[in-house]
Amino acid sequence: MKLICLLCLTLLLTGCGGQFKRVESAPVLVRGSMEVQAGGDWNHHTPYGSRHREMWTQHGVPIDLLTFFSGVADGVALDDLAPRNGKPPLFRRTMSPEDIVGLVETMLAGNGGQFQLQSLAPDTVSDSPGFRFEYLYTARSQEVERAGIGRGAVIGDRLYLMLFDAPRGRYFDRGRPGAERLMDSLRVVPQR
Amino acid sequence: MRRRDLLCGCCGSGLLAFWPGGAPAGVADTPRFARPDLASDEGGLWALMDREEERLRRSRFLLGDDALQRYVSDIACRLAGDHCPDMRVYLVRTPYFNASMAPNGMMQVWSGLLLRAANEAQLAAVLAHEVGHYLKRHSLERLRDARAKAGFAQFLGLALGAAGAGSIGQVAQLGVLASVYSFSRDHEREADAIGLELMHRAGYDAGEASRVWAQLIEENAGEDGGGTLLFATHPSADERRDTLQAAAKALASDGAPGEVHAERYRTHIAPLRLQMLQDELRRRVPDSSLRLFDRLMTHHGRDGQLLYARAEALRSRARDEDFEQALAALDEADALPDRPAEAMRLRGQILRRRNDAEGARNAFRNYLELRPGAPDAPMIRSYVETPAP
Repeated sequence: MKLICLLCLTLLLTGCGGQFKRVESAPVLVRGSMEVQAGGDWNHHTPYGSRHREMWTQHGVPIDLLTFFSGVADGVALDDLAPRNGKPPLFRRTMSPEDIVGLVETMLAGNGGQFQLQSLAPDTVSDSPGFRFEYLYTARSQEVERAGIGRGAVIGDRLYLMLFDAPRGRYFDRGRPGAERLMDSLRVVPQR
Repeated sequence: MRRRDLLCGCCGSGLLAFWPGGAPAGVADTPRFARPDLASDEGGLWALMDREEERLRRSRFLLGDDALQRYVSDIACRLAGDHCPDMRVYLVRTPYFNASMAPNGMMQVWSGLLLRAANEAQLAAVLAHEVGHYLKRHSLERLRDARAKAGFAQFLGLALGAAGAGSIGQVAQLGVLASVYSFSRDHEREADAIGLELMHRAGYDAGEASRVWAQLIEENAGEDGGGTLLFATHPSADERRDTLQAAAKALASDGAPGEVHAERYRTHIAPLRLQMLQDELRRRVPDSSLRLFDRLMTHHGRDGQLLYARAEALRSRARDEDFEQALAALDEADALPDRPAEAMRLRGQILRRRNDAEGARNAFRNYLELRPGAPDAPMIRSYVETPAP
């Protein structure tokens, strides 16, 4: 009985529920359109019901989380897992990087959380003009401040975006180099 | 303890009998509560809330403005009378309209309420309502009622969740307290009646209580929440507005004109108002935000911050004519001293979207002059230095 309780508690705490699978160390095509050179001990999970999202973690979602948004189409919510009555804002192909960061802000902290943009600058993503940004946020349901980095581009009217976040300080600093290597290796295979 | 329950219960019956035709009386004279025995159900409830308060004291979500804290605490104190020493007010940064009061005297006031109140009397109306719950010890009745109906586990789970000890604690700790105190509609009506009496005694215009609800009805006209979490458990806002209106008229018949203290209120929330507006914008519910901003302009005037917020909500909504109206709001804000630098960036973004490259560059240059070290300065600078796509 104790063992079962311990197992349940572990699953609850990791938030994984056994749905994560190990990522092979090789080029990986994420949701058919984002290819990255996976290195390190990553585990991946495709959330049920999401049209474009995949989540990766090394040590568990609360410790480090890399999220891919692969080919978000015009008129579709970036946060496609938000409750339907929550009316999440929609991605538009004409959006500027500031607008897209705004979508991320609303997704992470729109429900009463705190979000602080640390930097936003132009960048090249998969040989296309894109952007990179850094941020801090605290979700309303938590008291732990998390730090994050993001990189994205609108290619062929679709948004390709990667976010990495972890508790600010030790966990973020530890996970950042590996996440940046993955982001650097991104090659977009545009969807039709 | 039971004797006191009985006395309070009798007092409550009396209030209901008077309400809403005449002014309820006597509840403000309720003696201060002693700390309950820890072995009692009430003592257990207090202990839970003490733990939650300890967490709240360290929360990143506290507003942290000492002057505003003192100001709101003083209002709560004036309303609570003899119970003032037992109350502790916490200003919580969250963009929804809400306040709550725990049985141990911990009162939470959310920044969404501070943004939405048009004047001090409206804030006092909501605080007085919460004091009403406290004076009538409604949370204890709720606990006993839940236990009697086998809903105790749920109640306890919510309470533990609020304290961060249960799985529900991961859901929405700040919001859970409101759920814990999802009082019955009778309790809400009773708290309304007491609140009205308290604000009248403290010298406020009791008519502002019904205006708070009228405003929420208007803001909530759409289906996007309107920044309030109260409608699910409270009496209908229409009913509340009408009942409070009638009761306020009855109170006003004693000839004592109440105060609203609009200017004093504006002065005290001014240092944090731009942050509150930005928190509201982050929700990205432009329709209800626009209704809110337009209403605030009728109360506070068309100042630079509100015009900027209006323009930002219009750009976010992005319907036909919205960009035109947003630019008009920014034009109006240009001449005002409190226009934030973000207004210039917003103008640049709109003009860039409309392929007015030169106009956009000028606006972005103005923004960068004022905020050369802004986090997004490298991105904005790239718009100035490179041709529009």
